[in-house]
Amino acid sequence: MAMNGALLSEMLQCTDTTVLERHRARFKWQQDQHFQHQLQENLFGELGGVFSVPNSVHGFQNGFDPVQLKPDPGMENGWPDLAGFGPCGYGNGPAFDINYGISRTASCPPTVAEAAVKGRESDLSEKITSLATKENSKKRKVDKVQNTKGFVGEDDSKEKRIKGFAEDGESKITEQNSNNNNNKSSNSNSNSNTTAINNKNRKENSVDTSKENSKVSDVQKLDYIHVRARRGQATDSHSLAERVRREKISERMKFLQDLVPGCNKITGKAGMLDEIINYVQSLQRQVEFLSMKLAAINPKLDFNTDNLFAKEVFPASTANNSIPTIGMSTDMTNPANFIQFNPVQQQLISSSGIEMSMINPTDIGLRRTISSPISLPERFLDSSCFTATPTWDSDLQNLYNVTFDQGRSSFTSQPFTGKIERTNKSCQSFFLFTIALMNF
Amino acid sequence: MNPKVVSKTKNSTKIMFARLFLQSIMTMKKTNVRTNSDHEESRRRSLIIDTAAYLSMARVVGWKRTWSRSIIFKIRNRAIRKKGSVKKKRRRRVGRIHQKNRLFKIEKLRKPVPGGEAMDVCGLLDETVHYTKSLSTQVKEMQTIANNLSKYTYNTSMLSFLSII
Repeated sequence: MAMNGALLSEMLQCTDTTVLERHRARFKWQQDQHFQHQLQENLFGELGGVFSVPNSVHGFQNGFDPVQLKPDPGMENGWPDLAGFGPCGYGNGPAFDINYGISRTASCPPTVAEAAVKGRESDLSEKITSLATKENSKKRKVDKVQNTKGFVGEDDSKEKRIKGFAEDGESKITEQNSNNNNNKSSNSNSNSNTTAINNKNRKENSVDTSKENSKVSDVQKLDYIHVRARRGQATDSHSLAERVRREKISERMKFLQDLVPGCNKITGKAGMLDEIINYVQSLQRQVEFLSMKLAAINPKLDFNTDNLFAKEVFPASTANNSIPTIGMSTDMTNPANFIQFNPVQQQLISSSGIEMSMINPTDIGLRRTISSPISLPERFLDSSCFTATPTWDSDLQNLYNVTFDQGRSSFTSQPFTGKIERTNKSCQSFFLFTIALMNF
Repeated sequence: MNPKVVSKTKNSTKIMFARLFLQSIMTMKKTNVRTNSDHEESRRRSLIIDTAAYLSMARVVGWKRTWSRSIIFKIRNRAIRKKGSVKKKRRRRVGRIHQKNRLFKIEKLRKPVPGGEAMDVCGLLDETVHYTKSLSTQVKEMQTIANNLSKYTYNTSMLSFLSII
């Protein structure tokens, strides 16, 4: 903080007003980020167990109220955009969402929040934006500390790469912005038109202001503004463009090298391309094979579901009977459960009632049946993405759950499995739900 | 915090893909007409599922990417052509083919990446990166679905067996 104050005083001496504004915004963002780090740490320290569990029932039973807690960080920063992150329809549970929201706030400056929300659709762009913001912050710090121009070249190349991998829309924006900046540099006027710009553009701005300092104003090099020839390199526009193109290609090859397994050891681009082509084709072949497998499974599935619906009356009725009793004892009455299931469950619940029992999905199912007649909490319904399911449906879902988890009874014997497995399982149960719903 | 965000978004694409894919499979099941021979039937089915997988992945990715656009257009055009309206073959001329080794390989890369016929090398590599990523996601997801379905059928058969006993 002391350093930041010193920086601020330094900045005050600057004559350029927009630069000052920008620095202020950065400063504020850093403060926010710091605060949110603290908040996040506190939250994770207190509620670590809750956050690690994807399903909503657990959070609800702990008395922890995720939905109330969620808007808080957003409101404190004064940007209620976070509320848009509300419980999403994919049934991952609100606990996950909070997690997501907070990390979001921490990783992005407030001005970018909307853009970030927009960019949530594709994971690639997501990754890149977060990465870009991080790198930007680092670079800005560097820029602040030493205002030499020697760093500009390297920064430029890096940022250009990031920009190259950003989304199309963003690149459009940056292009517009670069146009703005060109005008600015040619006019060497006030920067009033560049104030309402979000993060990406701010990055561009920093580049372009540094460029402004170096007094290079070429309208021709509009696309590759931030490219500078090093010592001994050709400086005419064609060779510059060619160099940029080569750099781009090598960058992408590097990305591909990371993506394709076994590509690290190959030297030479021809061999790498060979490997990439093979990999893509093998993936396509794999898709073909899997579709054949699914086609083979599908008719069986049809037959079996029909078969199941004939038999479904019996277990469903038992589940209905077991509602008034406690969830543990219902397992004994349910004929569908394995016998080895029960002692494990009892152990789990007796040792620590909450966390471990979550691992057992059948238990969730049974609890759901219990809670469904008694004034279902709305939050719970929202999180489970099937709003307003009648009890009959929920019973059927339970049935599916039970049948599904019998095969994986080994899963229950490992109480502390990783988060990934849990999420994976939630995904799997989601598939089952979709299947179950589509069959109706 | 960053990996969590990434995993979350990956999950969402995964789930979107799974949902679209399962929906398309289910609709296919309703509309299909059984042919005579069993082998032919399964072959046709697998082709349809294959198309459905690609199409749903392309839909999840959206219109932002060239490869997804080209997949969607290709499938749509095929559907139109099957209805018997247009039969038109347009062949785009690939730019000059370099005899250098690497660039020649890049020309080879145009074939497996959808929509790669008319693209410059940078764009092609960019598309390849994205396409490879989403394709691997798709494969993983399809494996999960296939495993689950097979387990599911196994379990239901087990259940019916148990309840009979």
